[in-house]
Amino acid sequence: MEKLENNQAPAEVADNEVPLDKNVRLMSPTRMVVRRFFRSKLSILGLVMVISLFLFSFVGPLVYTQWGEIELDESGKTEYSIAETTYTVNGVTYTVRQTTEKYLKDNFLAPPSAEHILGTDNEGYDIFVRLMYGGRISLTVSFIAVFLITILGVVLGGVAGYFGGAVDNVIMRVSDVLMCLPGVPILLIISTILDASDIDAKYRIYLLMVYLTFISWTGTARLVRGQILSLREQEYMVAAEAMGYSTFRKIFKHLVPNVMPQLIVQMSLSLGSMILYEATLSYLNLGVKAPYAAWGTMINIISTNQNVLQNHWNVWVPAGICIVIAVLGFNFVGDGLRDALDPKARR
Amino acid sequence: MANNDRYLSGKEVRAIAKANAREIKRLEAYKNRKAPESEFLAEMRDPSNILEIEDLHTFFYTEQGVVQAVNGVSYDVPRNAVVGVVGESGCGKSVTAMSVMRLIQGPAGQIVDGSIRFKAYDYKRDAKGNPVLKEGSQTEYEMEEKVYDIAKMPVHEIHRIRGKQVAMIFQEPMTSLNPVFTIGEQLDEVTFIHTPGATKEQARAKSEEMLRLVGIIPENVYNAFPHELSGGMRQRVMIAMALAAEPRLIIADEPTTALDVTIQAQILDLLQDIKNKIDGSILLITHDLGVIAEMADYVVVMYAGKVIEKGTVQEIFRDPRHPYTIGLQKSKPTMTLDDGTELYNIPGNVPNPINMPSYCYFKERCDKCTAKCAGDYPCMVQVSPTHFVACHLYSEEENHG
Amino acid sequence: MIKYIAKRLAYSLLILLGVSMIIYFLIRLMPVDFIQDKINAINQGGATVSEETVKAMYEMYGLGDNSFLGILKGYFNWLGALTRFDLGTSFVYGLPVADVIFEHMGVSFAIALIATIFEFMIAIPLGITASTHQYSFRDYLVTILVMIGISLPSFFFGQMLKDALALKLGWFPASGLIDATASHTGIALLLDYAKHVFIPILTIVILSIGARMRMTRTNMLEVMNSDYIRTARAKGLKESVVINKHAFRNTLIPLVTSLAGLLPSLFSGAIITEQVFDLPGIGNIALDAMNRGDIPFIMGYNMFLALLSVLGVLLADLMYGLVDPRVKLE
Repeated sequence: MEKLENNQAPAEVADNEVPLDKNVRLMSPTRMVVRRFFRSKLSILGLVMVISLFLFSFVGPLVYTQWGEIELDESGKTEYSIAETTYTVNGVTYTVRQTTEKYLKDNFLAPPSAEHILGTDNEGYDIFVRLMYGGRISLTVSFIAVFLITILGVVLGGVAGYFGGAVDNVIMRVSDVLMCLPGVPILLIISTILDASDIDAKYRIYLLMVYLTFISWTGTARLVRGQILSLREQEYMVAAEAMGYSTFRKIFKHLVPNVMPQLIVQMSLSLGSMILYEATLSYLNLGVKAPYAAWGTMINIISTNQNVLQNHWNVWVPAGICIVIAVLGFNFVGDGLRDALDPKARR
Repeated sequence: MANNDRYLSGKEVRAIAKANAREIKRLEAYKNRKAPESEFLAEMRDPSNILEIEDLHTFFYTEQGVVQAVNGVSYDVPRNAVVGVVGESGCGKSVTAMSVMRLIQGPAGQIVDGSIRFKAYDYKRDAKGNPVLKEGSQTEYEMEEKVYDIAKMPVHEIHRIRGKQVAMIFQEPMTSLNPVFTIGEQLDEVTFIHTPGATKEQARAKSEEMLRLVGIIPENVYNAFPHELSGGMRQRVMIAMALAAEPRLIIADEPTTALDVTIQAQILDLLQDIKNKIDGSILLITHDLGVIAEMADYVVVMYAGKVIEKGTVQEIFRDPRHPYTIGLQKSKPTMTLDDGTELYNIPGNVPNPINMPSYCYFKERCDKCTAKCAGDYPCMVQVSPTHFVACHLYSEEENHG
Repeated sequence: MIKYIAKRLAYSLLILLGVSMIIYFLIRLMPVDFIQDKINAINQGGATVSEETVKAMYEMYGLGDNSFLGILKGYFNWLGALTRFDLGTSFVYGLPVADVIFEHMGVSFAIALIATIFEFMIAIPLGITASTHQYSFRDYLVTILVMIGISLPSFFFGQMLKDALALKLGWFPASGLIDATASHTGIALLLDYAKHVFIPILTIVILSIGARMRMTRTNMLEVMNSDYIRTARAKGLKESVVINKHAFRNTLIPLVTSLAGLLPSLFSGAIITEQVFDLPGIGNIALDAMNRGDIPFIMGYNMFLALLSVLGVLLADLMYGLVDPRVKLE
């Protein structure tokens, strides 16, 4: 956009003149970002999705207290099984129906009703309530993991890029090795180790995510290191050096605005993938374990129970939809942020 | 009140976006329409010209408002002449050239109004668009002259003009060649597009001839990739590429700006040399007055999207009329400058391109400003048969005289 | 060039050494009685783990000696066996681990290959049209498809497809690779395979297509805004030639490179998809092995994956040098 630049302007501006930006009305940078973010309908949609999921998961259980996360509906259930026998006597066909009534303690696989908004699962837990608690776990765990990964990545990448030399070499070689570790299988091994050592089912998933951060910081570290290295090449860094700023100060001062937008975008996008990761682990019965709820765990049942898969959609589809909404929401927000922060790299 | 605000309000931004979207939609539809040839055929005002730009308006629809990058520009390029366009960065000289090529980046950039008449010399084509052979010949084709209004052409017809009739040399030789094809492939392509039935050997022969013309030994670069050449060499290749189709008009958009000084001189010599060798005109865009003085026959001075003065090179350099042109001449560094005198600079800044005043755009910076200057934007005044200026100083003379 | 490859291969070996160390130490973190439990469970389940196999494993992993030196000794034992191409014997299958891997790799590879071909065939043209018609209806459509593809969990989407297409509509078999009740031969057998892998492949294609489309679109947009595309247009080329020749050839660079990077996923098997559709691919076998504590197999499988990803990175770099004339491998 050659039109908008004005670098041919004379070096001095006489006092009586109107300075250039007096008659130019622009948007402030912050407003420009906010404005660009909200111009995209998809970003707004993403924000709405994420916020409503948060409200649902964290405020929901406070409002809707009818059932608890691990509270079985023990109102009982009568199961009827009907046996039919057909026999023919003298050309006339008779059918005999025999109904067996069986009384069971837990009200499992109940259809949606006023009592249970989305029915109950195969154990007799209220699905609607478990969706909320599942959301709590999924969202919390993902946030913790993303924060840990970012902190670890920024520190290690920053150290590598700042000090260079042997330190850089060691950190980068380690990250080379970690990048070649197969993610899911390694988590499967770690999960087995956790199984062997008695960890409370409630904290298992958090511990698993902490281990996950140890092998997932490489991407962020490379991003930060790359930024520092490219910053060192910039002419304005040479200028800053000529002005006598310390290396740390000039790198830190220029690094933050250069890396922040990318980090924010990366964080919001990896929130989505973390939710998927957690859900997958829980689905494989390696993450959150019964009786606690997670969205992945709630879908797990269908891999062994065909009856639920085919006839009780209310048990597993809502959890899947929640996962999709969460991941989609974070992706929309991340994409919107990327567009807003860097107008050149659209989507 | 609102005018003193530093920043646009959300409401204003939304209004701008809405208005932009509407305009862009209309202009894009016009650009992509299907139209018979008769709709964009035209007549030249003066048959000795090959390009006539008249009242051209090219706007950029930005988030902050409409930038009137080219705002009613008119100038002509006579046959076999070199026309130089000068002006500071952002004055619209490149955008005018890009409009001629129809290379304005849409959807934000759009030609809004005006006409660009170009006299094309091309193969005569039958109803199906195939070239017609000359009677009694197997290889020679009939040629014909046609005047197109480029501004009115639908976008899918532009290939009639681009490359074959008007070629362009760009400012950035480092990035203007496709990195994944060899120089030879990129040069041959021009012949393949524009010469019907060209064989591989013919294309290669033509490419090598062009390379020799720009002072490159073909064997060295024909099979090379662009990244293997220096900036000066790449610009030579760009010039060879522009010449390959023997266009009637070559637009050189600051061809030397990105090069270092010694290479600049070489490229200028080359252009000077080519000017005498080819049968065509050159539209030279630059902010370097020295280059213009050396190369051009006619000069067009642009300021803030408008032509403020145009004339022959002698008229502009010996007898500049517009205060801006006079200022430009004065701000040129020379060796003969007296000791102690500072290099002249024109005070002030170009007005905001989004919010142009209704009076003369140079008024704020002009040292010859009169009461009349607060009125309407001045019209073009003829001071000699070839010399025009847009300034109230001279319109007054006209009125009184 | 050869020197470069040799250097890279040597470096890859070092990385693999590091990876093997990490995996080995992780496995050694499992308590021994836990392993004994698992072996007992396997023995009870019908398959028998012979005394020799267990002994060989104790030898190889030096289990029982959990001092640092013990672990180190175990590691070198394992490495020593590896140099003789001995990855140990799988508990569950009673066969050498390498044999088990190669036996089940074929299914995974065939499915992944077909899925990848479809993925590229659909994603690239769609990505290109989206970029050349930026902000148009189809651009938004592609964007939304991309997002849905990226956001759907594979187990959920796979199960949905299975429920709808196989169980509810009955168009396709729900699981397995062949119809066990019929003995098909020739074309009938091939058709039977095709019917069984249709939904798994559909699942993989829909889920992976999004990322590929987004990548094509982003690259294409970047290329379309470059100066050399302007030059190509100024030459008088038709827009279709500009896009399909000049722009596409440049977008090809990251695409081909990413294709090489896909190599590992071609062989490693899609764990979740294979689990959902109960396919006898390597991913499903590995998942089963983890659940049953088949340590030699877990170790072998993870090393196999690491080897693939190291090779994938190397291959991607080589391909990059091949398709981009600006890159010189040295």
